Amino acid sequence: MAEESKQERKVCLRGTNLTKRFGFGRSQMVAVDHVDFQFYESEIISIVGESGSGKTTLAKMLLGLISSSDGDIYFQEQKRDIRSQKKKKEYWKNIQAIFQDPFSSYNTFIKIDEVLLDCINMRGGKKLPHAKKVELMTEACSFVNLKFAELTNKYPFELSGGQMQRLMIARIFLLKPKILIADEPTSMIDACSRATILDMLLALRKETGMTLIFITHDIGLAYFVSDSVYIMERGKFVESGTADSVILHAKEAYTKRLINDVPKIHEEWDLSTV
Amino acid sequence: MGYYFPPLHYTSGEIIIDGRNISGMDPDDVRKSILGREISYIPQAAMNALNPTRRIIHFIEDVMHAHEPSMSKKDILAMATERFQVLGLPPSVLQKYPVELSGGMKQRTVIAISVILSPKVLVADEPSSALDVTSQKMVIKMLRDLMDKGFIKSMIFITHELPLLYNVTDDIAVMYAGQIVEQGSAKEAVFTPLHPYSKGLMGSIIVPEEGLREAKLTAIPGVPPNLKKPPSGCRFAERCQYVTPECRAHSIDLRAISEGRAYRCILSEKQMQEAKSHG
Repeated sequence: MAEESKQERKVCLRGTNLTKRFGFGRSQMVAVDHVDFQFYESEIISIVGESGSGKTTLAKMLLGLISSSDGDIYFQEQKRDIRSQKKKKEYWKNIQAIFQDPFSSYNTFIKIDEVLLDCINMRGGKKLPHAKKVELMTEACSFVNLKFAELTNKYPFELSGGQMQRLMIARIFLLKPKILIADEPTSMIDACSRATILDMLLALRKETGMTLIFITHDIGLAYFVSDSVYIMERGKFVESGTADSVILHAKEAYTKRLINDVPKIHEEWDLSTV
Repeated sequence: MGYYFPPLHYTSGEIIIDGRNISGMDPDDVRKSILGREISYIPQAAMNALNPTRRIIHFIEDVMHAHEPSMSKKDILAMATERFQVLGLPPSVLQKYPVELSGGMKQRTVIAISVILSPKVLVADEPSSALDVTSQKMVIKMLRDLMDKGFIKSMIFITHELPLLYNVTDDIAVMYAGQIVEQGSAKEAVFTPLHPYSKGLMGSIIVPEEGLREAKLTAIPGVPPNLKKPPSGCRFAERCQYVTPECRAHSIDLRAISEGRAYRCILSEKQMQEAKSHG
Protein backbone atom coordinates (compact mmCIF):
# COMPACT_ATOMS: atom_id res chain seq x y z
CA MET A 1 0.00 0.00 0.00
CA ALA A 2 1.43 3.36 -0.95
CA GLU A 3 2.41 5.83 1.74
CA GLU A 4 0.23 8.71 0.56
CA SER A 5 -2.97 6.66 0.74
CA LYS A 6 -2.09 5.76 4.29
CA GLN A 7 -2.34 9.36 5.39
CA GLU A 8 -5.87 9.70 4.06
CA ARG A 9 -7.07 6.53 5.70
CA LYS A 10 -8.57 6.62 9.12
CA VAL A 11 -6.98 4.86 12.04
CA CYS A 12 -9.23 2.05 13.13
CA LEU A 13 -7.44 0.64 16.12
CA ARG A 14 -4.58 2.20 17.99
CA GLY A 15 -2.62 0.98 20.96
CA THR A 16 -0.18 2.96 23.10
CA ASN A 17 2.19 1.42 25.58
CA LEU A 18 0.06 -1.71 25.72
CA THR A 19 1.38 -4.15 28.30
CA LYS A 20 0.27 -7.42 29.83
CA ARG A 21 2.00 -8.91 32.83
CA PHE A 22 1.21 -12.33 34.27
CA GLY A 23 2.05 -13.41 37.80
CA PHE A 24 3.54 -11.51 40.69
CA GLY A 25 6.93 -10.92 42.23
CA ARG A 26 9.72 -13.16 41.08
CA SER A 27 7.54 -15.37 38.89
CA GLN A 28 6.21 -12.34 37.02
CA MET A 29 6.55 -12.39 33.27
CA VAL A 30 5.75 -9.75 30.73
CA ALA A 31 3.82 -11.32 27.86
CA VAL A 32 3.24 -8.11 25.94
CA ASP A 33 5.80 -5.42 26.60
CA HIS A 34 4.86 -1.79 25.91
CA VAL A 35 3.78 -2.11 22.31
CA ASP A 36 2.53 0.73 20.13
CA PHE A 37 0.63 0.24 16.90
CA GLN A 38 -1.80 1.86 14.50
CA PHE A 39 -4.08 -0.24 12.36
CA TYR A 40 -5.84 1.57 9.54
CA GLU A 41 -9.31 0.97 8.19
CA SER A 42 -9.59 -1.90 5.70
CA GLU A 43 -5.90 -2.69 6.05
CA ILE A 44 -4.62 -6.25 6.26
CA ILE A 45 -2.14 -6.63 9.08
CA SER A 46 -0.09 -9.64 10.11
CA ILE A 47 1.45 -10.12 13.51
CA VAL A 48 4.19 -12.72 13.21
CA GLY A 49 6.26 -14.37 15.90
CA GLU A 50 7.21 -17.75 17.31
CA SER A 51 5.30 -19.60 20.04
CA GLY A 52 5.31 -17.71 23.30
CA SER A 53 6.08 -14.34 21.75
CA GLY A 54 2.80 -12.87 23.01
CA LYS A 55 0.79 -12.75 19.79
CA THR A 56 -2.30 -14.42 21.17
CA THR A 57 -2.16 -12.41 24.41
CA LEU A 58 -2.15 -9.25 22.32
CA ALA A 59 -5.08 -10.52 20.28
CA LYS A 60 -7.04 -11.29 23.44
CA MET A 61 -6.39 -7.81 24.75
CA LEU A 62 -7.58 -6.28 21.50
CA LEU A 63 -10.72 -8.37 21.74
CA GLY A 64 -11.27 -7.35 25.32
CA LEU A 65 -11.16 -10.95 26.54
CA ILE A 66 -8.41 -10.12 29.02
CA SER A 67 -7.61 -6.78 30.57
CA SER A 68 -4.34 -4.97 29.94
CA SER A 69 -1.90 -4.25 32.75
CA ASP A 70 -0.83 -0.95 31.27
CA GLY A 71 -1.45 1.22 28.25
CA ASP A 72 -4.55 2.15 26.28
CA ILE A 73 -6.47 0.93 23.29
CA TYR A 74 -8.24 3.46 21.09
CA PHE A 75 -11.03 2.29 18.81
CA GLN A 76 -11.79 4.78 16.02
CA GLU A 77 -9.81 7.38 17.94
CA GLN A 78 -11.99 6.98 21.01
CA LYS A 79 -10.59 5.42 24.11
CA ARG A 80 -12.08 1.98 24.38
CA ASP A 81 -14.59 1.58 27.17
CA ILE A 82 -15.73 -1.96 27.93
CA ARG A 83 -16.22 -1.73 31.64
CA SER A 84 -19.78 -3.04 31.61
CA GLN A 85 -21.13 -6.16 29.93
CA LYS A 86 -23.44 -4.01 27.82
CA LYS A 87 -20.56 -1.92 26.51
CA LYS A 88 -18.57 -5.10 25.85
CA LYS A 89 -21.36 -6.48 23.70
CA GLU A 90 -21.51 -3.20 21.83
CA TYR A 91 -17.73 -3.42 21.26
CA TRP A 92 -17.98 -6.97 19.99
CA LYS A 93 -20.31 -5.83 17.23
CA ASN A 94 -17.25 -4.09 15.85
CA ILE A 95 -14.52 -6.61 16.54
CA GLN A 96 -14.73 -10.36 16.01
CA ALA A 97 -12.31 -13.24 15.84
CA ILE A 98 -11.65 -16.60 14.20
CA PHE A 99 -9.54 -18.90 16.30
CA GLN A 100 -7.00 -21.55 15.47
CA ASP A 101 -8.93 -24.60 16.58
CA PRO A 102 -12.40 -24.76 15.02
CA PHE A 103 -13.26 -27.79 17.15
CA SER A 104 -13.15 -25.74 20.33
CA SER A 105 -14.73 -22.59 18.91
CA TYR A 106 -18.30 -23.86 19.12
CA ASN A 107 -20.57 -24.80 21.95
CA THR A 108 -21.27 -28.49 21.39
CA PHE A 109 -24.85 -28.20 22.62
CA ILE A 110 -25.90 -25.36 20.34
CA LYS A 111 -27.19 -26.13 16.87
CA ILE A 112 -25.76 -24.40 13.83
CA ASP A 113 -29.05 -22.56 13.16
CA GLU A 114 -28.80 -20.96 16.53
CA VAL A 115 -25.17 -19.98 16.03
CA LEU A 116 -26.15 -18.09 12.89
CA LEU A 117 -29.41 -16.70 14.32
CA ASP A 118 -27.42 -15.27 17.17
CA CYS A 119 -25.40 -13.23 14.69
CA ILE A 120 -28.54 -11.91 13.02
CA ASN A 121 -30.01 -10.94 16.37
CA MET A 122 -26.79 -9.22 17.33
CA ARG A 123 -27.01 -7.08 14.22
CA GLY A 124 -30.48 -5.95 15.28
CA GLY A 125 -32.43 -8.37 13.13
CA LYS A 126 -34.30 -9.91 16.02
CA LYS A 127 -37.73 -8.81 14.80
CA LEU A 128 -37.25 -9.93 11.20
CA PRO A 129 -39.71 -12.54 9.92
CA HIS A 130 -38.39 -16.09 10.03
CA ALA A 131 -38.32 -16.45 6.24
CA LYS A 132 -36.06 -13.41 6.00
CA LYS A 133 -33.71 -14.84 8.62
CA VAL A 134 -33.47 -18.13 6.72
CA GLU A 135 -32.73 -16.17 3.57
CA LEU A 136 -29.91 -14.31 5.33
CA MET A 137 -28.47 -17.54 6.73
CA THR A 138 -28.66 -19.24 3.34
CA GLU A 139 -26.85 -16.31 1.77
CA ALA A 140 -24.12 -16.42 4.41
CA CYS A 141 -23.64 -20.15 3.98
CA SER A 142 -23.49 -19.97 0.22
CA PHE A 143 -20.85 -17.26 0.52
CA VAL A 144 -18.58 -19.85 2.12
CA ASN A 145 -19.70 -22.69 -0.19
CA LEU A 146 -21.84 -24.41 2.39
CA LYS A 147 -25.45 -25.40 1.87
CA PHE A 148 -27.71 -24.14 4.62
CA ALA A 149 -30.29 -26.81 3.83
CA GLU A 150 -27.71 -29.48 4.69
CA LEU A 151 -26.59 -27.76 7.87
CA THR A 152 -29.87 -26.85 9.44
CA ASN A 153 -30.72 -28.76 12.58
CA LYS A 154 -27.17 -30.15 12.83
CA TYR A 155 -24.69 -29.76 15.64
CA PRO A 156 -21.21 -28.31 15.06
CA PHE A 157 -19.45 -31.61 15.80
CA GLU A 158 -21.14 -33.16 12.78
CA LEU A 159 -19.02 -30.97 10.49
CA SER A 160 -15.40 -31.40 9.39
CA GLY A 161 -12.70 -29.00 10.56
CA GLY A 162 -12.67 -27.14 7.25
CA GLN A 163 -16.45 -26.81 7.26
CA MET A 164 -16.44 -25.50 10.83
CA GLN A 165 -13.87 -22.90 9.93
CA ARG A 166 -15.95 -21.85 6.95
CA LEU A 167 -19.03 -21.60 9.13
CA MET A 168 -17.00 -19.29 11.32
CA ILE A 169 -16.48 -17.08 8.28
CA ALA A 170 -20.22 -17.27 7.54
CA ARG A 171 -20.79 -15.85 11.03
CA ILE A 172 -18.44 -13.00 10.23
CA PHE A 173 -20.32 -12.45 6.97
CA LEU A 174 -23.53 -11.95 8.95
CA LEU A 175 -21.94 -9.81 11.63
CA LYS A 176 -19.93 -7.57 9.30
CA PRO A 177 -17.60 -6.30 12.03
CA LYS A 178 -15.19 -3.41 11.52
CA ILE A 179 -12.25 -5.54 12.60
CA LEU A 180 -11.62 -9.25 12.28
CA ILE A 181 -8.81 -10.92 14.18
CA ALA A 182 -7.81 -14.25 12.64
CA ASP A 183 -5.62 -16.15 15.08
CA GLU A 184 -3.83 -18.86 13.09
CA PRO A 185 -7.01 -19.53 11.10
CA THR A 186 -5.41 -22.06 8.79
CA SER A 187 -2.83 -23.90 10.84
CA MET A 188 -5.07 -26.84 11.68
CA ILE A 189 -6.42 -27.48 8.19
CA ASP A 190 -4.82 -28.97 5.11
CA ALA A 191 -3.03 -27.00 2.44
CA CYS A 192 -5.86 -27.12 -0.05
CA SER A 193 -8.58 -25.93 2.29
CA ARG A 194 -6.14 -23.28 3.41
CA ALA A 195 -6.25 -21.62 0.01
CA THR A 196 -10.06 -21.72 0.10
CA ILE A 197 -10.25 -20.17 3.57
CA LEU A 198 -7.80 -17.41 2.65
CA ASP A 199 -9.70 -16.65 -0.54
CA MET A 200 -12.92 -16.35 1.45
CA LEU A 201 -11.40 -14.07 4.06
CA LEU A 202 -9.96 -11.81 1.39
CA ALA A 203 -13.26 -11.76 -0.53
CA LEU A 204 -15.07 -10.87 2.68
CA ARG A 205 -12.71 -8.02 3.35
CA LYS A 206 -13.26 -6.73 -0.16
CA GLU A 207 -17.00 -6.80 0.38
CA THR A 208 -17.19 -5.25 3.83
CA GLY A 209 -14.00 -3.20 3.89
CA MET A 210 -13.10 -4.47 7.34
CA THR A 211 -9.68 -4.41 8.92
CA LEU A 212 -8.19 -7.87 8.96
CA ILE A 213 -5.56 -8.80 11.54
CA PHE A 214 -3.78 -12.10 10.98
CA ILE A 215 -1.93 -13.66 13.88
CA THR A 216 0.44 -16.29 12.58
CA HIS A 217 3.84 -17.91 12.85
CA ASP A 218 3.85 -18.63 9.14
CA ILE A 219 5.75 -15.78 7.59
CA GLY A 220 4.87 -17.06 4.13
CA LEU A 221 1.19 -16.56 4.83
CA ALA A 222 1.89 -13.12 6.30
CA TYR A 223 3.77 -12.13 3.18
CA PHE A 224 1.05 -13.42 0.92
CA VAL A 225 -1.93 -11.67 2.47
CA SER A 226 -0.88 -8.55 4.29
CA ASP A 227 -0.27 -4.87 3.65
CA SER A 228 1.66 -4.36 6.87
CA VAL A 229 3.62 -6.86 8.91
CA TYR A 230 4.56 -6.57 12.57
CA ILE A 231 7.25 -8.96 13.84
CA MET A 232 6.89 -9.82 17.50
CA GLU A 233 9.69 -11.16 19.69
CA ARG A 234 9.23 -11.77 23.41
CA GLY A 235 6.37 -9.32 23.76
CA LYS A 236 7.87 -6.51 21.70
CA PHE A 237 7.48 -5.42 18.11
CA VAL A 238 11.02 -5.65 16.78
CA GLU A 239 10.25 -4.77 13.19
CA SER A 240 7.28 -3.43 11.29
CA GLY A 241 6.44 -1.96 7.92
CA THR A 242 4.99 -2.97 4.58
CA ALA A 243 5.10 -6.65 3.76
CA ASP A 244 7.69 -6.15 1.02
CA SER A 245 10.03 -4.09 3.15
CA VAL A 246 9.87 -6.39 6.18
CA ILE A 247 10.11 -9.74 4.45
CA LEU A 248 12.18 -9.13 1.38
CA HIS A 249 14.55 -6.67 3.07
CA ALA A 250 14.54 -7.81 6.67
CA LYS A 251 16.86 -5.91 8.98
CA GLU A 252 16.49 -7.67 12.33
CA ALA A 253 18.27 -10.98 12.92
CA TYR A 254 15.09 -12.39 14.41
CA THR A 255 13.06 -11.66 11.28
CA LYS A 256 15.76 -13.20 9.15
CA ARG A 257 15.71 -16.30 11.29
CA LEU A 258 11.93 -16.64 11.01
CA ILE A 259 12.17 -16.36 7.24
CA ASN A 260 15.03 -18.82 7.17
CA ASP A 261 13.07 -21.34 9.23
CA VAL A 262 10.31 -21.71 6.66
CA PRO A 263 10.95 -24.53 4.19
CA LYS A 264 11.18 -23.13 0.67
CA ILE A 265 10.75 -24.57 -2.77
CA HIS A 266 13.13 -22.63 -4.96
CA GLU A 267 15.94 -22.10 -2.49
CA GLU A 268 18.05 -24.47 -0.44
CA TRP A 269 16.71 -24.90 3.11
CA ASP A 270 19.60 -24.46 5.51
CA LEU A 271 19.17 -26.93 8.36
CA SER A 272 22.50 -26.20 9.99
CA THR A 273 21.32 -22.96 11.59
CA VAL A 274 19.03 -24.44 14.22
CA MET B 1 1.88 -51.22 11.20
CA GLY B 2 0.72 -54.82 11.18
CA TYR B 3 -0.61 -54.52 14.71
CA TYR B 4 -4.28 -53.88 14.87
CA PHE B 5 -7.38 -53.76 16.93
CA PRO B 6 -10.81 -53.78 15.39
CA PRO B 7 -11.96 -51.80 13.45
CA LEU B 8 -8.47 -51.29 12.08
CA HIS B 9 -7.90 -54.66 10.43
CA TYR B 10 -7.19 -54.74 6.75
CA THR B 11 -9.37 -56.66 4.37
CA SER B 12 -6.67 -57.64 1.90
CA GLY B 13 -3.04 -57.13 0.99
CA GLU B 14 0.26 -57.73 2.71
CA ILE B 15 2.81 -55.72 4.63
CA ILE B 16 6.38 -56.80 4.06
CA ILE B 17 9.20 -55.30 6.09
CA ASP B 18 12.68 -56.21 4.99
CA GLY B 19 11.53 -59.41 3.31
CA ARG B 20 9.34 -60.49 6.21
CA ASN B 21 5.59 -60.68 5.78
CA ILE B 22 4.02 -59.38 8.97
CA SER B 23 0.39 -59.25 7.89
CA GLY B 24 -0.50 -62.79 8.98
CA MET B 25 1.37 -62.69 12.25
CA ASP B 26 -0.15 -62.97 15.69
CA PRO B 27 -0.76 -59.46 17.10
CA ASP B 28 1.21 -60.31 20.23
CA ASP B 29 4.25 -61.37 18.22
CA VAL B 30 3.95 -58.21 16.17
CA ARG B 31 3.99 -56.11 19.30
CA LYS B 32 6.97 -57.91 20.80
CA SER B 33 9.25 -58.38 17.85
CA ILE B 34 8.15 -55.98 15.11
CA LEU B 35 6.94 -52.76 16.71
CA GLY B 36 9.77 -50.59 17.89
CA ARG B 37 12.43 -52.86 16.40
CA GLU B 38 11.42 -53.10 12.77
CA ILE B 39 8.91 -50.31 12.44
CA SER B 40 8.01 -47.45 14.71
CA TYR B 41 5.40 -44.76 14.63
CA ILE B 42 5.17 -41.12 15.67
CA PRO B 43 1.46 -40.34 15.89
CA GLN B 44 -0.09 -36.98 15.09
CA ALA B 45 0.08 -34.69 18.14
CA ALA B 46 2.70 -37.02 19.57
CA MET B 47 3.40 -34.66 22.41
CA ASN B 48 0.11 -35.68 23.99
CA ALA B 49 1.34 -39.28 24.13
CA LEU B 50 3.38 -38.62 27.28
CA ASN B 51 1.87 -39.47 30.64
CA PRO B 52 1.66 -36.17 32.57
CA THR B 53 2.17 -37.85 35.96
CA ARG B 54 5.41 -39.66 35.18
CA ARG B 55 8.95 -38.57 34.41
CA ILE B 56 10.26 -39.07 30.88
CA ILE B 57 12.71 -41.76 32.00
CA HIS B 58 9.80 -43.91 33.26
CA PHE B 59 8.35 -43.91 29.81
CA ILE B 60 11.64 -45.17 28.41
CA GLU B 61 11.91 -47.83 31.11
CA ASP B 62 8.45 -49.03 30.14
CA VAL B 63 9.41 -49.35 26.51
CA MET B 64 12.65 -51.17 27.33
CA HIS B 65 10.99 -53.56 29.78
CA ALA B 66 8.55 -54.66 27.13
CA HIS B 67 11.32 -55.43 24.68
CA GLU B 68 14.36 -56.31 26.78
CA PRO B 69 13.20 -57.43 30.22
CA SER B 70 16.73 -58.27 31.34
CA MET B 71 18.04 -54.73 31.09
CA SER B 72 18.59 -52.97 34.43
CA LYS B 73 17.31 -49.49 35.21
CA LYS B 74 20.88 -48.23 35.44
CA ASP B 75 21.70 -49.52 31.96
CA ILE B 76 18.52 -48.01 30.60
CA LEU B 77 19.39 -44.62 32.06
CA ALA B 78 22.92 -44.80 30.65
CA MET B 79 21.66 -45.79 27.24
CA ALA B 80 18.92 -43.14 27.19
CA THR B 81 21.35 -40.43 28.33
CA GLU B 82 23.76 -41.31 25.56
CA ARG B 83 21.05 -41.45 22.95
CA PHE B 84 19.59 -38.09 24.01
CA GLN B 85 23.03 -36.49 23.87
CA VAL B 86 23.68 -37.78 20.37
CA LEU B 87 20.36 -36.33 19.23
CA GLY B 88 21.06 -32.94 20.76
CA LEU B 89 18.54 -33.17 23.61
CA PRO B 90 19.76 -32.23 27.10
CA PRO B 91 19.83 -35.41 29.27
CA SER B 92 18.21 -33.42 32.10
CA VAL B 93 14.98 -33.86 30.15
CA LEU B 94 14.91 -37.48 31.29
CA GLN B 95 14.18 -36.49 34.88
CA LYS B 96 11.49 -33.99 33.99
CA TYR B 97 7.72 -34.21 33.77
CA PRO B 98 6.07 -33.49 30.42
CA VAL B 99 4.55 -30.21 31.66
CA GLU B 100 8.04 -28.85 32.22
CA LEU B 101 8.89 -29.15 28.53
CA SER B 102 7.89 -26.90 25.63
CA GLY B 103 5.85 -28.28 22.73
CA GLY B 104 8.84 -28.65 20.43
CA MET B 105 10.88 -30.31 23.14
CA LYS B 106 8.08 -32.78 23.93
CA GLN B 107 7.79 -33.63 20.28
CA ARG B 108 11.52 -34.29 19.98
CA THR B 109 11.45 -36.35 23.15
CA VAL B 110 8.68 -38.56 21.79
CA ILE B 111 10.61 -38.99 18.56
CA ALA B 112 13.76 -39.95 20.47
CA ILE B 113 11.80 -42.52 22.49
CA SER B 114 10.04 -43.99 19.48
CA VAL B 115 13.38 -44.75 17.81
CA ILE B 116 15.15 -45.95 20.95
CA LEU B 117 15.32 -49.51 19.60
CA SER B 118 16.66 -48.31 16.23
CA PRO B 119 13.81 -49.49 14.00
CA LYS B 120 14.33 -49.97 10.30
CA VAL B 121 11.35 -47.88 9.30
CA LEU B 122 9.92 -44.83 11.04
CA VAL B 123 6.41 -43.65 10.19
CA ALA B 124 6.09 -39.97 11.08
CA ASP B 125 2.49 -38.72 10.88
CA GLU B 126 2.47 -34.91 10.75
CA PRO B 127 5.35 -34.72 13.25
CA SER B 128 5.65 -30.95 13.04
CA SER B 129 2.25 -29.57 12.08
CA ALA B 130 1.30 -28.33 15.56
CA LEU B 131 4.60 -26.50 16.06
CA ASP B 132 5.82 -23.06 15.10
CA VAL B 133 8.36 -22.74 12.32
CA THR B 134 11.44 -22.69 14.52
CA SER B 135 10.50 -25.79 16.52
CA GLN B 136 9.44 -27.42 13.28
CA LYS B 137 12.90 -26.92 11.90
CA MET B 138 14.47 -28.48 14.98
CA VAL B 139 12.22 -31.52 14.65
CA ILE B 140 13.11 -31.91 10.99
CA LYS B 141 16.80 -31.57 11.75
CA MET B 142 16.46 -34.32 14.33
CA LEU B 143 14.71 -36.65 11.89
CA ARG B 144 17.47 -36.03 9.37
CA ASP B 145 20.08 -36.70 12.04
CA LEU B 146 18.42 -40.02 12.80
CA MET B 147 18.83 -41.01 9.18
CA ASP B 148 22.39 -39.70 8.88
CA LYS B 149 23.56 -41.38 12.06
CA GLY B 150 21.99 -44.69 11.04
CA PHE B 151 19.47 -45.06 13.86
CA ILE B 152 16.74 -45.54 11.28
CA LYS B 153 17.13 -46.78 7.74
CA SER B 154 14.09 -45.23 6.14
CA MET B 155 11.26 -42.93 6.97
CA ILE B 156 7.70 -42.45 5.80
CA PHE B 157 6.74 -38.84 6.31
CA ILE B 158 3.01 -38.06 6.25
CA THR B 159 2.04 -34.43 5.83
CA HIS B 160 0.12 -31.87 3.80
CA GLU B 161 2.94 -29.32 3.93
CA LEU B 162 4.50 -29.59 0.50
CA PRO B 163 7.46 -27.25 0.99
CA LEU B 164 8.41 -29.29 4.02
CA LEU B 165 8.03 -32.58 2.20
CA TYR B 166 10.12 -31.31 -0.67
CA ASN B 167 12.97 -30.49 1.68
CA VAL B 168 12.86 -33.72 3.64
CA THR B 169 12.04 -36.58 1.32
CA ASP B 170 13.50 -38.34 -1.70
CA ASP B 171 10.20 -39.56 -3.14
CA ILE B 172 6.64 -38.30 -2.81
CA ALA B 173 3.42 -40.25 -3.20
CA VAL B 174 0.28 -38.10 -3.37
CA MET B 175 -2.88 -39.65 -1.93
CA TYR B 176 -6.45 -38.69 -2.69
CA ALA B 177 -9.57 -40.36 -1.29
CA GLY B 178 -7.76 -43.50 -0.23
CA GLN B 179 -5.74 -44.00 -3.40
CA ILE B 180 -2.25 -43.10 -4.46
CA VAL B 181 -2.77 -40.75 -7.40
CA GLU B 182 0.82 -39.87 -8.14
CA GLN B 183 4.29 -41.13 -7.37
CA GLY B 184 7.65 -39.68 -8.20
CA SER B 185 10.81 -38.10 -6.88
CA ALA B 186 10.34 -35.01 -4.73
CA LYS B 187 11.51 -32.76 -7.53
CA GLU B 188 9.25 -34.32 -10.17
CA ALA B 189 6.19 -34.30 -7.94
CA VAL B 190 6.62 -30.65 -6.96
CA PHE B 191 7.73 -29.07 -10.22
CA THR B 192 6.07 -31.27 -12.84
CA PRO B 193 2.97 -32.76 -11.23
CA LEU B 194 0.96 -35.02 -13.54
CA HIS B 195 -2.28 -35.64 -11.70
CA PRO B 196 -4.79 -32.76 -11.59
CA TYR B 197 -5.08 -33.11 -7.81
CA SER B 198 -1.34 -32.85 -7.26
CA LYS B 199 -1.36 -29.82 -9.53
CA GLY B 200 -3.98 -28.25 -7.30
CA LEU B 201 -1.89 -29.00 -4.24
CA MET B 202 1.20 -27.47 -5.77
CA GLY B 203 -0.85 -24.37 -6.60
CA SER B 204 -1.65 -23.79 -2.95
CA ILE B 205 1.93 -23.51 -1.72
CA ILE B 206 2.74 -20.36 0.24
CA VAL B 207 6.42 -19.62 0.77
CA PRO B 208 8.02 -16.25 1.55
CA GLU B 209 9.78 -15.82 -1.77
CA GLU B 210 9.76 -12.94 -4.17
CA GLY B 211 6.88 -13.06 -6.64
CA LEU B 212 4.53 -14.84 -4.27
CA ARG B 213 2.30 -11.83 -3.75
CA GLU B 214 1.57 -11.62 -7.45
CA ALA B 215 0.80 -15.32 -7.66
CA LYS B 216 -2.78 -16.50 -7.37
CA LEU B 217 -3.58 -19.37 -5.07
CA THR B 218 -5.57 -22.08 -6.79
CA ALA B 219 -8.13 -23.61 -4.51
CA ILE B 220 -9.62 -26.91 -5.65
CA PRO B 221 -13.41 -26.56 -5.68
CA GLY B 222 -15.65 -29.05 -3.90
CA VAL B 223 -14.96 -31.60 -1.19
CA PRO B 224 -13.45 -35.12 -1.18
CA PRO B 225 -15.97 -37.90 -1.94
CA ASN B 226 -17.73 -39.86 0.75
CA LEU B 227 -15.71 -43.07 1.02
CA LYS B 228 -18.66 -45.03 2.31
CA LYS B 229 -19.85 -44.99 -1.28
CA PRO B 230 -16.77 -44.17 -3.37
CA PRO B 231 -17.53 -43.09 -6.93
CA SER B 232 -17.21 -45.88 -9.49
CA GLY B 233 -14.94 -43.95 -11.86
CA CYS B 234 -12.07 -41.64 -11.08
CA ARG B 235 -12.42 -40.49 -7.47
CA PHE B 236 -11.27 -36.97 -8.32
CA ALA B 237 -13.68 -36.54 -11.27
CA GLU B 238 -16.17 -34.33 -9.40
CA ARG B 239 -13.53 -31.70 -8.70
CA CYS B 240 -11.37 -32.05 -11.79
CA GLN B 241 -11.21 -29.31 -14.40
CA TYR B 242 -10.20 -31.71 -17.18
CA VAL B 243 -12.99 -34.19 -16.54
CA THR B 244 -14.43 -36.20 -19.49
CA PRO B 245 -17.35 -38.68 -19.55
CA GLU B 246 -14.81 -41.48 -19.80
CA CYS B 247 -13.40 -40.56 -16.37
CA ARG B 248 -16.65 -41.45 -14.66
CA ALA B 249 -17.20 -44.69 -16.59
CA HIS B 250 -14.62 -46.99 -15.00
CA SER B 251 -11.99 -46.90 -12.31
CA ILE B 252 -8.56 -45.74 -13.35
CA ASP B 253 -5.35 -47.64 -12.70
CA LEU B 254 -2.09 -46.26 -11.49
CA ARG B 255 0.02 -46.03 -14.65
CA ALA B 256 3.78 -46.34 -14.41
CA ILE B 257 5.57 -44.14 -16.91
CA SER B 258 9.14 -44.71 -15.77
CA GLU B 259 11.11 -46.14 -12.87
CA GLY B 260 9.45 -44.87 -9.71
CA ARG B 261 7.11 -42.48 -11.51
CA ALA B 262 3.41 -43.21 -11.87
CA TYR B 263 0.07 -41.46 -11.90
CA ARG B 264 -3.64 -42.26 -11.96
CA CYS B 265 -5.28 -40.28 -14.77
CA ILE B 266 -6.50 -40.98 -18.28
CA LEU B 267 -4.80 -37.90 -19.71
CA SER B 268 -1.43 -38.65 -21.25
CA GLU B 269 1.70 -36.97 -20.02
CA LYS B 270 1.73 -34.77 -23.10
CA GLN B 271 -1.90 -33.72 -22.75
CA MET B 272 -1.24 -32.84 -19.15
CA GLN B 273 1.71 -30.62 -20.03
CA GLU B 274 -0.36 -28.83 -22.65
CA ALA B 275 -3.26 -28.40 -20.26
CA LYS B 276 -0.86 -26.89 -17.78
CA SER B 277 0.45 -24.30 -20.20
CA HIS B 278 -3.14 -23.25 -20.90
CA GLY B 279 -4.23 -23.28 -17.30
